[in-house]
Amino acid sequence: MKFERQTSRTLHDEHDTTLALMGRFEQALLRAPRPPAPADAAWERLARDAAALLDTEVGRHFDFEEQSLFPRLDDAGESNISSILRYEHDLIREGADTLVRLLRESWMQPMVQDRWDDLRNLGLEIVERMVVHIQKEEMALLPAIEVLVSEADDDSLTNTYAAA
Amino acid sequence: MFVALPVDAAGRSRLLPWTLPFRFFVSAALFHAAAWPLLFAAADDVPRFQGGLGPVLGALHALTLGTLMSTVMGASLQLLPVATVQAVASQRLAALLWWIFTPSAACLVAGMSQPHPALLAAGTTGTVAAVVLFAGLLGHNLAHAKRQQDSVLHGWVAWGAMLLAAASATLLVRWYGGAALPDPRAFARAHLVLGVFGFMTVLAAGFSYILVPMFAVTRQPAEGLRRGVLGAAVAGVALALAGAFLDASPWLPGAAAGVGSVAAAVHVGAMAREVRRRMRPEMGPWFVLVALGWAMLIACLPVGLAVAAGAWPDRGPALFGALAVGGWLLSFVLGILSRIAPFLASVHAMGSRRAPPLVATLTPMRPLRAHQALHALALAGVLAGIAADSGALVRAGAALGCAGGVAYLVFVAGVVRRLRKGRSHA
Repeated sequence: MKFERQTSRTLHDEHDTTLALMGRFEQALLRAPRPPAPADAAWERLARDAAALLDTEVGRHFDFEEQSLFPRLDDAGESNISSILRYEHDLIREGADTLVRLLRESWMQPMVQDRWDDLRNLGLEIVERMVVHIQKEEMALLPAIEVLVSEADDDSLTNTYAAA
Repeated sequence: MFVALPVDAAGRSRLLPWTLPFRFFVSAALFHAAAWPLLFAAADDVPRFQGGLGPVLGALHALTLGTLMSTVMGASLQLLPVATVQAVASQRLAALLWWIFTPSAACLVAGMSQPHPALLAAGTTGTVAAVVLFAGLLGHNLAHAKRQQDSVLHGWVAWGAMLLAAASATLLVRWYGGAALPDPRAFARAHLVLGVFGFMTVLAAGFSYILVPMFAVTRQPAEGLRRGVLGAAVAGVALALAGAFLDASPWLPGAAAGVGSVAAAVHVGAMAREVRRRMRPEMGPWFVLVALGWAMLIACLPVGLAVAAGAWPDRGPALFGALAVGGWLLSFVLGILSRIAPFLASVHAMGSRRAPPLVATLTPMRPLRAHQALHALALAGVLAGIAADSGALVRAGAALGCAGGVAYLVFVAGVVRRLRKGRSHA
């Protein structure tokens, strides 16, 4: 999909990065009914990437949307769409906090099966929620930004996001 | 922490109340469940079917109007406004559309199947009125679309073909009622080409460029390729129409099928390439029927080419029709519907104070899996029956189709039930 606004392009690129990582994370979880072996370097690398994304990047991305973009949707009479997206942010944040703790545990110490099952189930749920959430944003939010955000506004939003 | 969502839009919003698209989806599943018993009852007539009133034509229209058109109406009323950033012109008119279209299409199918000319005429009048109303709503959205210009272009081509298909249908039904019509076979061919390829196939391709990349988590094919495929499809339809009216030789229909084959191969090749590059390996069950539909699209146009050249004069038309409608469009549309219904349910299942259900938990898997297997087997039975000139094989295929129709209805009803359950916890 072609976007004219830098704001949409930046969010779209971040969505792509997130989807690629979520895809790898989901595959790793589906292939591993048992906890990873201690010092499993591949798992540790993936778990660290996923934790970093969920802990910092996703929060930054969500905060920007909530503070700078959703009010524009509200003003345009699209509050039902922004409400759904805000609601999903809250859900993903809540699940992500727990998942990040479990991910850190997974590379810092051997995991018992019950804890691994918790991580795996929550991880697969977060992947599903994140993917569907991104699909909704790609379909409903980014096209709206293209229409609702002026060129001058776009520059200002891009700077705001870069500084966040 | 969970917020209470506004159930309905304040003013004109891009998001419709859930009951609006879903009433069309339930109708689509009901018509699908009704089409297979009609085909079962007329199985002996299927292999050599070349047109004419009766249960075979009724079954065909239960699928094309009842299932495909209902799905297109429900999906485009909800998804197109979101994608084009242009709210639907009037939610009341969108609701009225269902009330006019659904009973009229049922009347039309019953009138064709019995056959009962008065019922058929009444059904056709209502259906054409609904198509005109839908054209108004769709045209308003396309004319004011602020995004997705490429899909909008597909929409306009489909819009024109849909109205021409409705006009040709009106003339044909009047002819069935005794009015004069020069060369009714030409009008019947034109109706088929306009409805199946000019309208449904072009619209399916336009929606594919938005929906398949979104659900498969991949990119769209290049814009130049998308427009080139559309241009070739329009050329193919124009050649086929010219062949129907202007020339008794097989050259024009043959050229149409040839151009269409190239367009279909390029479209499917590009979509398949992007799907292979997807970022999320897990595809989910919806893609099985989409892939089957694409395979049937690739297969149907060379068969059309052979039929135009005079191959299999007795059974060729039925084989081509079964591949195009049952194989390509029905498989593709039911596959896409099995993904968008739970997806839209997940958008609306948020009145709850609990976390809303995942798309996966809004998808009743067992009936969906059962339908996929039964659909593929039913299709194989009907195609084999036509090829072998065997009513018994068609009947066996239609029997499996009946079971598949029930399974799909259970699937759609299950999505609605889970959605309502999610919302009832508000």
